[in-house]
Amino acid sequence: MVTQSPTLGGPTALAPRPVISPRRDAFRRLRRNRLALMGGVIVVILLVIAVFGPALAPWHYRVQDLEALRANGNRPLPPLSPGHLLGTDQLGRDLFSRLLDGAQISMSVAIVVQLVVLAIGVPIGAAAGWFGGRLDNYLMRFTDVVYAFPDLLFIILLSVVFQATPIGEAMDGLLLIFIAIGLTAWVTMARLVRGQVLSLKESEFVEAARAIGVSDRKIVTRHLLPNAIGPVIVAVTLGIPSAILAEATLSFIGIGIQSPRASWGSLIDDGSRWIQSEPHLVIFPSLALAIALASYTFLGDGLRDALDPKLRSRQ
Amino acid sequence: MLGYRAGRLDPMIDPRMDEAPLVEAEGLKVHFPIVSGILQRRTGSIRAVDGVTFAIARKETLGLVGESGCGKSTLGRALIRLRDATDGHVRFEGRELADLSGRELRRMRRRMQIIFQDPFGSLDPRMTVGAIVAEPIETHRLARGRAKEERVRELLTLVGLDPAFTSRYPHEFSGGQRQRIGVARALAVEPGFIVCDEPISALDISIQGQILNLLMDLRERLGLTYLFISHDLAAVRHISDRVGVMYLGRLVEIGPSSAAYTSPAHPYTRALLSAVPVPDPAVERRRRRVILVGDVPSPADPPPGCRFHTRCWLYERLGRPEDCRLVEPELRSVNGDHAAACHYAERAMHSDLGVVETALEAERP
Amino acid sequence: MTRPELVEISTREGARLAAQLADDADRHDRRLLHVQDLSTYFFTPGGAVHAVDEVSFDLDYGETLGLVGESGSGKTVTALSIARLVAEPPGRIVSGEVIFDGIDLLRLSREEMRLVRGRKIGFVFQDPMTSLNPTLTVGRQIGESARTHLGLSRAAAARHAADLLGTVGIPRARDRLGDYPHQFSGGMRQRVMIAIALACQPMLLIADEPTTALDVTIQAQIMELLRSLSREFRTAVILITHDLGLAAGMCQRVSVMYAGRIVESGVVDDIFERPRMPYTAALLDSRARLDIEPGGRLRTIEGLPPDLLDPAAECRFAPRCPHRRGICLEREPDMTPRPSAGDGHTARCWGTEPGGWIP
Repeated sequence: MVTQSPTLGGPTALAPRPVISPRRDAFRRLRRNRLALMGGVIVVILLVIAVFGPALAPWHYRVQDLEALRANGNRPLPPLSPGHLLGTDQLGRDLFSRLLDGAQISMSVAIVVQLVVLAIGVPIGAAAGWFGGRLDNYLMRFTDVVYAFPDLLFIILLSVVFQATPIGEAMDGLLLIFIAIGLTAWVTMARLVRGQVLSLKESEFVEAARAIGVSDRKIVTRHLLPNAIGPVIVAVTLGIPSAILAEATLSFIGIGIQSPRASWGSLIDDGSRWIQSEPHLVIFPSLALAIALASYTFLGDGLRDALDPKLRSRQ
Repeated sequence: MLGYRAGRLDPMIDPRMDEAPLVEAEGLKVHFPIVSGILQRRTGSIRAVDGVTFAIARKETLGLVGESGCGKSTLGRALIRLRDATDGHVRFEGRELADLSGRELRRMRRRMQIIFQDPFGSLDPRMTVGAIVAEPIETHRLARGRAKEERVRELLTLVGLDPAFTSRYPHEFSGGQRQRIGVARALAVEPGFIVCDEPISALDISIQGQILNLLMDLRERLGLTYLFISHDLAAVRHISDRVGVMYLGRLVEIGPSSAAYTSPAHPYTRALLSAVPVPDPAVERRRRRVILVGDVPSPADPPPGCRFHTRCWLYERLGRPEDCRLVEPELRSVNGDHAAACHYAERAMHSDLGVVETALEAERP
Repeated sequence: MTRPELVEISTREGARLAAQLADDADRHDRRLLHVQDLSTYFFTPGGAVHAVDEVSFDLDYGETLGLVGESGSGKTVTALSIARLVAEPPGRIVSGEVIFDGIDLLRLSREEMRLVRGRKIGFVFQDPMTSLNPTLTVGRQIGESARTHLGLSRAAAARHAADLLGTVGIPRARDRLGDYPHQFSGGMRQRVMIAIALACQPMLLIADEPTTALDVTIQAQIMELLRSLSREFRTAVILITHDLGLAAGMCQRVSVMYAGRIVESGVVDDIFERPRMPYTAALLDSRARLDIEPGGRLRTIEGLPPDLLDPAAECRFAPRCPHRRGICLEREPDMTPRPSAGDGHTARCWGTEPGGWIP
């Protein structure tokens, strides 16, 4: 009955070439993006510094080199002073060492805040998008309320209320600040995830999975999450600079990091008092902050381009 | 042929040839709520499918035509319960689909499948072709390990793809090839009924014929029943035994393809046929056509009486009879199993508007 | 009282313009557009994509030409190249000439070209929603081009816009001038696009898949409108479409494109009744059609179009052609006349050249 039929029999040709998975393709395109590659390298260096920096630092962040300070007439040492590459502050503390220590704080902000953002934003966004209807409405209105609440006020309130609790005391009070920042920052993530889930839920391949009889749980884990993860990674990467900036801002206005520890933000704050006579105290921490922010942003932009399915290379 | 084993993929040959239809819809309605405001109040509904009754016999292909927004895709999805019916019945092999539990429904999915329009959107971009075609096999635990892989290769061969493609990703394929992957996935569960939702509309012309041929070959080989949804009237006639025409959520005409295309009994069908361009300049110059005025009204607020009367040429020609505005016509037989929902169906049939004379292919130069 | 079988066309401006165009026609022979060896490449990291490769054709005043082909055949890029609308980079018109109404468009400055584009060449694109500005009323958008190019006053432009909306068959035109694009349906938006394109009474209207996004009954309305407008105003039209049926009903002449090349050209009846290029024949056969009794398999074209990145020297259709012979894979044929068919019928095929093997 079945004879040779050209459509069924003739496999349509496809030139032999190595199989390219979407992930490998994205990685290849990321590598081609110079700026993103540079950002990535600097981010890795920053992470290494955050972990090992304090151990590698020539001085402990709170040790005062009083001798050198006295020798300089009780004025902060300028950069390239012997033993102090970037000079010291007005108390004789080594600026380079304090920057290295600050890196640790900035990187922990990055991680803790984004963990909080993921832990709250992803489930709320996913639930709103997947279940839809009334639940979606309630969750999104709640999100709107959080979004509309002044961030700074919220963080200050939170740090005052929880100051005396174990969370308030952990990590010199920093953990509380980080969590507070995270609690204001998850909103964007929730909206992003909701949008992703909504559009993926309506996509034909999810409909095809439902038509096949795949269970809801499997649809979420096999189809929705793997496809939503790209934009989430991008959002996390691009959210890091604003978290670092938020911490710096808080430290600058005096909330957050407690002396003698210093983050880049509080270093800028301290230095700003000497900006006329000792500009290096502002310039170096600002430079460190700017480089970190730019690196994360370049990396994030690069990831976005690399993970964008519309730009996926066909060759 | 190429690893194809007839015994496994040919389960649908039923010696009983029983009379009961495979799929039935009765008074089927699918409405979508229109919600507005922050309180998400329901302010109305889109009546995508609004009271449709028909049946599809085993091994039959029913074509469904109509313009966008007429409800044909929603109807197709409701038939396999990818959309829940607002009202009315859908029976598959005599069983009421709405009564099935989640588990029973998932099991029922083995018998009914769907092929989608968009060959780019219907395949998960992060899964390999092998994983895509294997998913239904795993879901229904039809085969495991080596047997599963063998089966995937067999399915790819069946739809005309190289079985060595299993480790590739959808983005490496052309539109036509992706559509074949979608067909392979639908066939993996050995269904009896497949809803083909605009399966060729997104493809290039030279590829459309390939997919149409493939669907016809598979139908013959596996004894499949199709609901073939398309706005391409010529393609629908080519593949269908019977044709249904939808307008604003209602079935306005249904009948054997030959009858529906040579003596359409609904003015809308004639207008649709008129609008289809024919690639023969001589025919184009000769044919008598009617061009509808205006747009399709909103399915949220269909006109009273006959839904088509606001654009109907016959209504105008008959001097705007009152009953068209007041009474909604029911689908009624005009000749055996050829039925139309028009008060003046007999008048509509006696016209040559829209109809294209056909030449046998052999007679063409 | 609506009369469903007729699409009303206002003829007020028509007569005047037709007379003017007739004068123009006498001045410059009958030829409005002469495209010679036009090539447009897209420069990608992987190399130059020959999207349009040595395309030549002519268009007379008031004539309708169909540019037919599948996606990727280069038909849209050809049209964009004529109007110099190709995005640069990555695209670039690498060679050729486009003589429009006696002027080589490729030699004009940007500013001069802009004037030609608004004044003498009108464009209608596939998707009316993205080509209309959602924040401006349609009255403004139609009037704008008349004001810039014809120097009309605001009031005169508004009157002109109302006339045009009426001409393209929008009911209660005057009342709808203040409406925004989203307040129109898809078909009505396309009518608005056509009104904008006609605002300065161009000599050439380029319609790029103008009905692909629309339903068939709406498509029929738009085609009827284009047909009567081109007749009324004697506007030449280039209709770009993948639908051979549309070309058959609309055009006087048809050029078929494949893989960046024109592969067959001729009067519409010749092309459809006696195609001399196997690709054209295959395209006609590969689709179900209403005028042929259904039954059996469709003849299909196997395989895929070639990669236009450094195309091979062979006939570009040869790898998919059922009639190919050795020579087809060695050298690409030129567009040559087919005297056995009608006048001016040319094709790019060794097999149908005099003495060829395809009957």
